[in-house]
Amino acid sequence: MAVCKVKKVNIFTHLELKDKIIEELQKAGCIQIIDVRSKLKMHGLLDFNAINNMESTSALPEVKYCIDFLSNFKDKPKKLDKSLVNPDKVYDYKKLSSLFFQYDYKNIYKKCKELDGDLKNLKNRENHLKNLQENLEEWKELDIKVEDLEGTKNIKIIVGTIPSKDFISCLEEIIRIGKEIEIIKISLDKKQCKIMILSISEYYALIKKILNKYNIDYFKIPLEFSKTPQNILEDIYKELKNIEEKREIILKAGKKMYRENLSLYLAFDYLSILKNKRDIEKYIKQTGKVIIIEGWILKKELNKLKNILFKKFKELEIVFSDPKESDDIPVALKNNKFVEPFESVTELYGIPKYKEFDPTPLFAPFYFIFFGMCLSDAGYGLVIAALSYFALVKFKFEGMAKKFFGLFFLGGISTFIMGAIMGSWMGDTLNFLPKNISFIKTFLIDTISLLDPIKNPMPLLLISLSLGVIQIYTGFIIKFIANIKKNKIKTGFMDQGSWLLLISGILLFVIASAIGSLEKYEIITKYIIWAGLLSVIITQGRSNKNIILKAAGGVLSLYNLIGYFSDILSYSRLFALGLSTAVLAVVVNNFVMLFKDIPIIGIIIAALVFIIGHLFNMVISGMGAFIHSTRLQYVEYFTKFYEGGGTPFKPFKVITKYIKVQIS
Amino acid sequence: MITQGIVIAFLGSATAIGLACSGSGIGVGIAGAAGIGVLTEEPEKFGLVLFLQAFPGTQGIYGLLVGFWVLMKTGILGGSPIPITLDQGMQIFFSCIPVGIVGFFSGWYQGKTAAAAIGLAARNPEGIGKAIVMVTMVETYAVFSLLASLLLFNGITL
Amino acid sequence: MFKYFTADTNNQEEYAFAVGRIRNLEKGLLNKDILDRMIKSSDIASALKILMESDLNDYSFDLNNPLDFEDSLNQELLHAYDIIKNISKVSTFNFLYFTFASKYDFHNIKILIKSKYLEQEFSDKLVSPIGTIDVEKLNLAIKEEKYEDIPDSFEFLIKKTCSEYNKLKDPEIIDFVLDKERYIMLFNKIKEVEIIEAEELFLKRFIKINIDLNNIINCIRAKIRGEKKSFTKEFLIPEGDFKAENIVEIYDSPLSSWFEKLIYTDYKDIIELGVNYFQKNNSLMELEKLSDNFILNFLKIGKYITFGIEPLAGFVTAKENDIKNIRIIISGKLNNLSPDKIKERVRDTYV
Repeated sequence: MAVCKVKKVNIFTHLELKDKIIEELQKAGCIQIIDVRSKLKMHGLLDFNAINNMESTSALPEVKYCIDFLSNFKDKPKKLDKSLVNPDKVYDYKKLSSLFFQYDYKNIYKKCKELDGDLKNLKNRENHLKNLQENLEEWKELDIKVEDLEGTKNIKIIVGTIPSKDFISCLEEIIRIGKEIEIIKISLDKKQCKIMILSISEYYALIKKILNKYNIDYFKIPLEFSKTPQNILEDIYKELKNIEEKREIILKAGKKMYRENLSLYLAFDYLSILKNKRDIEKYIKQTGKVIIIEGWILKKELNKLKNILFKKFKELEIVFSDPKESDDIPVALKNNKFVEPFESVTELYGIPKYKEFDPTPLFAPFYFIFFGMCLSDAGYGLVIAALSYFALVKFKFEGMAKKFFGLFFLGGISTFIMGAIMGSWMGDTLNFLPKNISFIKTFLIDTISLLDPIKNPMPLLLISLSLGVIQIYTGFIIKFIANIKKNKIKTGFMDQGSWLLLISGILLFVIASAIGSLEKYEIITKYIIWAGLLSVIITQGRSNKNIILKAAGGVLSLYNLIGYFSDILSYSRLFALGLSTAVLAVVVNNFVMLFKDIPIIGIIIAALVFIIGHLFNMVISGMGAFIHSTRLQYVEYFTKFYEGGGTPFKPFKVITKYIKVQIS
Repeated sequence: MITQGIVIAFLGSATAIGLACSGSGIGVGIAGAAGIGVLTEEPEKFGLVLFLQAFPGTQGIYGLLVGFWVLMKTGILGGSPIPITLDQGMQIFFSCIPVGIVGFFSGWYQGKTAAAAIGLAARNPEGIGKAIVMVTMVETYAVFSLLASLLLFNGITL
Repeated sequence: MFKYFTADTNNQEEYAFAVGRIRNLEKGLLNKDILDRMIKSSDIASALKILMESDLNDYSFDLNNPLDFEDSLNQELLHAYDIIKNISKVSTFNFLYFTFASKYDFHNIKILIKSKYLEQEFSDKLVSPIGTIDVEKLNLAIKEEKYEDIPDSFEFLIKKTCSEYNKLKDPEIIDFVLDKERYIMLFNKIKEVEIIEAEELFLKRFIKINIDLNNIINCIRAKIRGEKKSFTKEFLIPEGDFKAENIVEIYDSPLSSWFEKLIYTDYKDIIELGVNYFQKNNSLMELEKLSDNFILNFLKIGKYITFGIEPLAGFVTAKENDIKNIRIIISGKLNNLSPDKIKERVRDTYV
């Protein structure tokens, strides 16, 4: 159970065996190799960084480029053609390299580069043309060839736009310059006025000055065009169409390449396996003849490692040793089938340190109940459990995803149980069953169901809060036991014992005064409260030196009491969320009933509303159930006893991104 | 029969739904903007971003829940409202206040927190577990206000 | 109240979107580990390969011609600026792009004016495509004095620079004048646009830090060249936190004692270490590195802010810093410097 025992392993062997050993270790996947570079540099050890390994230099980046580029051309996932790589197929590790070398990725890379370049060129040209088009659109009315606008030696032409409100005053100013000026208004609207001014060259500078004053926006078309704006626009339009056609061709080629070159995925994974091996080499110490591989291994896998290595190699030595306190020991968790899915929640928070214990089994039962209470609908529970079970069987997840779906499966079962207890089956759907099968309802509601939170919410609220009390109590007790196990008996009694005494006193007092028949015990509970108070005040200020500060610290620490009670209050969310699922489900059913009386299509709409409404409620409430049960563990429970912050155990192994590889 | 009490109960229901949903709207909007920012660069994060964006949406659901509960208990939703006095109507109105107002502000601020969490998810997906806890902390108070509204409403004898 | 409220939420959405994008892009920034590995690698090709394989970023190099790395780096920087332009274009903080990109306008103007007066043809490699104004238009304005296509503020600037140059005929003047005018222009810009208080505070502080460091470095340079006090005073940029008078006061005391007089400012360490290094190695490299690091460290606040322009500012500067680091490493490899020597030169990293 819980945190796995870890051993340190040192493997000594001949230099020649280096590559083979690394490959075997990668295939075995049970040892986390330590990077020893940062440790002291021993004399006579070569630094592997200095050794440059240039084999397949650019292969991985190139293949990655091809994959990224071609993924732009991905079709909707249709049936894949008969290609070398099939995503569902499992490949034999041994055959990978031969498959890779059959495959000419360099050629593909070249083609991809070409296509990419072409596409970029087209895009640039297109942007350029579109800009031109935009500028020209405004000048459609200008019926003069653009090249003529340059003017001659003696006559200058200015074309531009000025704000309409300034048009008259600007005109007047220009006319005042001289007679040899011709102003042509091309168009005029509310905002802008387009003008063309012909003048002799002497006036050119003067006119420009005036125009600049009025913020003229010059006509900016490169003069190389020799047609009128209207004609140029037509040409641009044709060329744009042409570009679009060319792009279509490239897209088709790209799609074809994408379909034909799924082997890229194989190449990528093969090359990354190689790269991992190369990277790990840097972690290894070596002298002239011997290499030393240092790493972590789970205790239960010691024999597996020995078997694998000694079967293949003779000239090596494996030394196991216990980890030292000062090491940063990696942590792997091991739990039984029921608890394992809950590890995902622990991992999200941060796994325990090596010396800590695994909190997963300690919160799993709580989590199970809480999830069910937040969702609390038998119908939803069945759907969620069925869906996650289906997903687990069909997709055969690994790692985190597997744990999450396991968690949802268990959550679904819990929801089913809680929902049945609270008599909620897709809300109050059972009420609308036809008469002849209404015995189902009588059975489910009247016999099985124990609570009806919609009619009488108080019991459920009390149950939620009591669960809170139980969990916080458990938290204190766990810390208490942990302290005692660590031989810190005093700390345990003082920190947790005193608080337990005080809180139980208060709770007992509340119970005793609430229930009439227990009234005679009330006085005893008061004594417990006083004892608790006293012990808290005495013990909690002990870190201070001064006696007065000690007492003051003790009194101040009573403030924590408020914190613990607000923790307990926080569990009321179980009630609120459970109720919200139930009420929303009832609301959905109410809407469904509104539609049922419409003739013919009424039934269809009602069915749609029923499915969509409940699906929506299930997803939203399910998310809430997951988040809030998680939060209760993290914030209310873990803070009492758990730290976390360990480093996960990551063995060196074959990792692939796209294809599945089987190691025989 | 429409009494003055029913009118006030309407007001209560509308307050709960209206305010809480506005808060959620703002919150989801802010978180969504951050989400779209992330998706511009990395569309494959869609699932995670959507998940985080949905957080500030719950306040609206709480408001909706209280609002509908009022409508159901007063029989308005069924089409046959029960006679409610002015006093009872006022009681209903006040019981809707917590979830409305708290929902508004908590939704808004949860949106901001969720936006920050989405930023974290973009840069460092491993830290997402802790970020989710931070985001849920904001929601605690919406849950409390929902609880308060439900308890207040439950205390009204109709 | 309602007006305040809508303005606030609108801004929050804009920030949230911008920062969401930036957070993703921040993954493409280099960390210490990659830089270390690049520094230790044996040659340029393998250094570039580490960069490409790191799976974090978009750098792509032609490994067959590693010496063409400049193009790729420029592309990457241009890309970063494009992103900032895109993000800020549609938002209330569109002045941000100008704040950063105008640096390259001024750089281009410097090059063009110098090429005009020193009568050399400027090469395309020297000018940068990043600025807010097209290089062609600037060239037209400077070479042929046709100012139609550039904003008035720049016309004024170019004319002023040219007339200052014509007084003394010293190319250094061009740098001094333009540096000074750039910060004045930035300050004016901030006053012009509608800007939220928090943004204004941040930007002003950022610009002031830049001004201060610029002043200090320029002063130290001038001191080393033995310029007169009155000359140096002329080109100190006003508006900094660190008033020009303060520097003038200590200008005549020996360089090594400057930091004692500036002990109460943020820049004491920079001056002390930078000057020390100069006196040992006769190079201002350390001073420049420290001042770059100072700015970068100031901007690191952008990593922790969700609603603000700080992350954008941080990202652009970090990208520039990364590219500077890559250049340092590659040119180090070209000149066969030892890894330790290169390591001494590289700047801090943002992430």
